[in-house]
Amino acid sequence: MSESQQVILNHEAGSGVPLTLRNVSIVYRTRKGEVQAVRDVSLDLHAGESIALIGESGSGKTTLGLGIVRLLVKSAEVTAGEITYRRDGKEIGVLALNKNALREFRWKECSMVFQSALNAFNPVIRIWDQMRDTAQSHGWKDKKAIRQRSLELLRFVQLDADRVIDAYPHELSGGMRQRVLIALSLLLDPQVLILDEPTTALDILTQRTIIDLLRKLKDEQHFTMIFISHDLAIAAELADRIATMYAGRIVELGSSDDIFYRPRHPYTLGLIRAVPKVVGDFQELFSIPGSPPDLIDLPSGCKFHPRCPYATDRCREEEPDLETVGPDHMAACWHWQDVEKELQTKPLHSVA
Amino acid sequence: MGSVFLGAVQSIGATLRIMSYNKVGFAGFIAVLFLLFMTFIGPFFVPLDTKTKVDQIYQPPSAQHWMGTDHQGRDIFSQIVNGGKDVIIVAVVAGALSTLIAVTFGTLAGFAGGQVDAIIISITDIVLTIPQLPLLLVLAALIKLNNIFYLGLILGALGWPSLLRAVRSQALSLKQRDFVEAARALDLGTMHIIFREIVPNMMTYIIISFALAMTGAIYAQVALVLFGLVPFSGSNWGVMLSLAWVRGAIYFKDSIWYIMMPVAAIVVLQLSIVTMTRSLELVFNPRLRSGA
Amino acid sequence: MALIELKNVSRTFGKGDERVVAVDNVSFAIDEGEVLCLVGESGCGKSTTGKIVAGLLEPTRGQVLFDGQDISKLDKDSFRRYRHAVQIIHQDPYASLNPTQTVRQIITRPLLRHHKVSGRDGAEKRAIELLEIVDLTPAHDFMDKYPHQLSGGQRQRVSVARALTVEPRFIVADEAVSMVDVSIRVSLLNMLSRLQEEFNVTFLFITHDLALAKYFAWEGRISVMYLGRIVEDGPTRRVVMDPRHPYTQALLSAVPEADPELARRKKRIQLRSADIPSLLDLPPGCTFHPRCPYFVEGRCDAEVPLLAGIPEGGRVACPVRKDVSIQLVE
Repeated sequence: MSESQQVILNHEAGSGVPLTLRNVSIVYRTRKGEVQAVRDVSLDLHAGESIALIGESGSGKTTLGLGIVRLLVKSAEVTAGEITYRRDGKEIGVLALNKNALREFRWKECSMVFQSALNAFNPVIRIWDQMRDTAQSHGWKDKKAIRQRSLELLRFVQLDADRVIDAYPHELSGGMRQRVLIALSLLLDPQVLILDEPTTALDILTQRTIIDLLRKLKDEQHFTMIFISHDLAIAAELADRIATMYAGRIVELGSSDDIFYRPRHPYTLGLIRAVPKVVGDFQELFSIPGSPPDLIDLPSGCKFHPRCPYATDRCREEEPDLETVGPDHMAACWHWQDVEKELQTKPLHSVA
Repeated sequence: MGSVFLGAVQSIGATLRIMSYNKVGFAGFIAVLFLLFMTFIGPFFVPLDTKTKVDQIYQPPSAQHWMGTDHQGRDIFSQIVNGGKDVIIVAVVAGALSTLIAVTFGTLAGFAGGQVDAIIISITDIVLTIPQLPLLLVLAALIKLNNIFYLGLILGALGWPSLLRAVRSQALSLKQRDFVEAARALDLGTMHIIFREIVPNMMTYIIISFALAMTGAIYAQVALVLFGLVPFSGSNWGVMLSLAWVRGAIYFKDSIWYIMMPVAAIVVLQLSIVTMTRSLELVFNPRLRSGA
Repeated sequence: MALIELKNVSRTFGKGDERVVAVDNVSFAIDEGEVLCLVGESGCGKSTTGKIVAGLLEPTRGQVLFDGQDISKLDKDSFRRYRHAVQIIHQDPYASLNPTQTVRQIITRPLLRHHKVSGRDGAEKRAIELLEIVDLTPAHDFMDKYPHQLSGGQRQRVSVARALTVEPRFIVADEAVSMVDVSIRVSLLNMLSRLQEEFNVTFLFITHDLALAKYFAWEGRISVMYLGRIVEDGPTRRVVMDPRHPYTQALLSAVPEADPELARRKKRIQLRSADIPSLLDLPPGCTFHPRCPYFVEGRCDAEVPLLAGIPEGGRVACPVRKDVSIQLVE
């Protein structure tokens, strides 16, 4: 255990806000029109914190994640807002970075762990080549040191380092590949990790080992992490704070316990009531009627109103902004107090 | 009866509308229609100029002779109008035959698998390795390749192997698709599965290979005429090219029209066929239609 | 008499060195109107079993009985009746419908082919009815749509409507809601449950998601598969609340829960090894033994454990632990 603490860079549970998003909007230009994938998102990510961006298809969570590291496709554009990154007292405006500075930023400051699909890897090169290429393309030339570090990291993610480093991607299982991707993301000692659906498509037992590994990264190494997922369960396991996203906006933001036991936005409530728990007695589940909106042709007012049981005329006309509904807890809903009242009669308990 | 007619007209209308979604493709379609009109109907209005006019050799384009004149003073435009029919017929016959063989046996091979597949693949490989040009040379010596239908059939009989392999691999992958399995579970029948489930999903392949088979046939016949292997009489575009080439028409400023016109005609025909496929694709693959 | 019964069914793929036993000596019975869930991780053979039950794949060994009769020995008419009676819903909404056909064509084709209706008008009417049964309303709006114009959840409903055209008695749902948005899954499952209640349709529900299995099959049974074998089965309540097989226990403990308090208090079961055996090279004896925390040397790696009944309901393939209850939450 102490060995692994030496392996990774000193990440003290520090203070500071490594990442700030202010009023970020991202648009995709398609033939059919402009897709408003992310609309006016603001977020502060504190050092050592892990935030989960939870949403379904079309929520904008993946776009936002890609936007932070500026890996969006050409047809997408950040049309508004600022992304500020801080480390050791320096401040960088991420959106203004030129090509070289961006390369420095990506992977050295903020790296991304993609889904472990086979096509996250170049199939014709070995894992070592992938790691060396990544390191060298970000300015690190010392092959011996890179090799050393790669082996360390592979061991940290509990792989048989000597065997894996010379393997081809297709020789590894899905779980092993996901671990390699995590090791790869740590190669240049970033401060912030963004993980996109890190456990989707993995089997249950494999998923558990990855979750435990990420927990280790969080608890022992104090990494600052953003999880992007549609899976509420992984948020419950790993996140300190959760932001639920709908139609490109954050509709609720709060601590994990607040979100799960004291939600104030009808969408969050709907999601929680739609997800079954395995352990324990039977629970009634409820689905959310309707389907996510067309991002090119969004409804007026609050985008959730067509599916919302609390919707009134005001909801059809005005889109609510995030407002404080509790300590460090915000929700974007005109009727959050109705949700609060509902939960007083039908509270959400832990099944434990 | 009237309603059937109306229904047919409506679907033609709908089809044309779908094709028009792709501007380039639709332009190609119009060009093809125009060329068909010109080469099949045109000759009734623009008779072939066969009179030798020694005083009008190699005239540049003018009001009298829209495309100039050839080495015997004959009007090039009339030759172009009259010379396309043969070229197109060979192309269509060859293309249709290749495509028919490839689709039928390719789908059968992919879908049936086993022995049937093995036999078809072996035959395909053999035909694939036959060198086409020497074979055509030999055939030209043995039989008169004058008849455009025979030429079309022969070219078609040689051009199907690579297309068959493509169709077969498509059929193989489509066979595994869930909706095909569902069709089996619903007991919809093998014929239905092949023709209503699998083939419609291969239409893009089929259309494009039909187009390529045609363009290939056009080149082949022009090459044959150029090499003097096929002694065509008359003056189709291939013959025009051949005659112009032999006479060194490219070397002189005035005579260049004689060689450029058939080349241009062939190029326009090829381009229109290929671009038209983009519109045809929209008809057969609903997913490609934007704004539908 | 059970509606569907599998007797010692095995299915192998490949030959020689590449030989994989995807399903190994699986036996179970499903009664009419019942729900059975097959759960397991990828490679456990649940999908293959589902296809064998649906008659889309032949077993290498063993029998599949429908209404008591071996389906491989049925005459043409009886086989046709079986074929109609057992339908399958696939996982991938984007591959389960023919992209070149409209919803109308997809639904009316089987209706017309099997003469379930009189003429085109009858087919149109019945198609609308079916779309309404699967909650695709207003049905008229959907008839002319192509699959790519529908959402994942809507496509799955069309798949179900298509399966209903032949009035099946049994539906195999192979990960039918896995690729659909979370908020919509429940409504799809509720729709399937309604089919079960209103039309007495029997279900084989295949999934890797234990929580969904528990929800859908609460009144039914669950079978847990590992590397081609059933390791535990029984009434859902019993299996989920009192699992006996170490693999089932490991699964239940490993599943992440959408409940932070529960996630904190769930008992963690550590496995001896993180390596998943390859189907090409199965461990001897109990195939779970290299990972099992209760491994008994000389026993677990030598004898293949057989499914044995337990008084609490169902069967467990683990002589060592089948009578031991554990706490899943601390």
